[in-house]
Amino acid sequence: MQAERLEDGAFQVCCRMDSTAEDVRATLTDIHALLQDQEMAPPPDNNWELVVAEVLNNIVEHAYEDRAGGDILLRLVFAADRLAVEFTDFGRPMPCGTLPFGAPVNLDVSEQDLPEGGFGWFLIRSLAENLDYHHDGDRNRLTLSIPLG
Amino acid sequence: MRLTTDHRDGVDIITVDAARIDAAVAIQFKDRMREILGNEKPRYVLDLSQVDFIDSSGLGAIVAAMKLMPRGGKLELAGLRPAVDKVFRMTRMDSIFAIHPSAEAAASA
Repeated sequence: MQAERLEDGAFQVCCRMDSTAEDVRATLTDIHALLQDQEMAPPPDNNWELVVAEVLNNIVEHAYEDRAGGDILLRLVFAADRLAVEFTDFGRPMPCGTLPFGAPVNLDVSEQDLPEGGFGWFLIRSLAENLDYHHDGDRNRLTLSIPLG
Repeated sequence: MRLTTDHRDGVDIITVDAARIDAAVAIQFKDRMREILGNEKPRYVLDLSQVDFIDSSGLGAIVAAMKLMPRGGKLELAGLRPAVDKVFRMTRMDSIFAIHPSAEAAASA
């Protein structure tokens, strides 16, 4: 994990992780610890962490189909009021080459039929802006931004 | 993932002794809840006051646990910290669960 203060004052974190839920968790925990030592720590609502976790979990689950050994690259640029994030992986492309719509789940069902998944893209789309996805050669690249504060 | 159980003021309380319920522990969480809920008490309160992060996998695991309750039984939630509360509200899952400010409040409810 590399972290540096950019010329414009933004705080940049770059890291690489393996395609496992455990490595996603370890990476997020490490970033958390790094931010606690920085003056520009994001506000405590932690929207950024939820969005980044959901995207990374999707990469592990879908792009790499829950197989370890895949590389995920993450770059975060924390500016005063906005976090810009870039995710890169080398797994399967998004179906149809586009990001999921992220419709809200239907809760108007019996208790036993309540959804246990399908919340991820709804949460991402609710909290993130400027989503852009490209599959280029062997890589998937997703960029987005999250308002801070 | 450590879950502890306690019988307080007539209520069975399950406390999550962890800061995160995420994709890395969702299956463990479900398995441990299955063991506890197998005791078939009619009402359990899940104390989340130590949890400061939950993702959609963690949310799904709590929904899955609720479905393990015997017919007519209730799994209620208590002590949601802001980031956890937000995920329940955004997904409208706050309309599915009874949510108490704390385990103590749940016991007197």
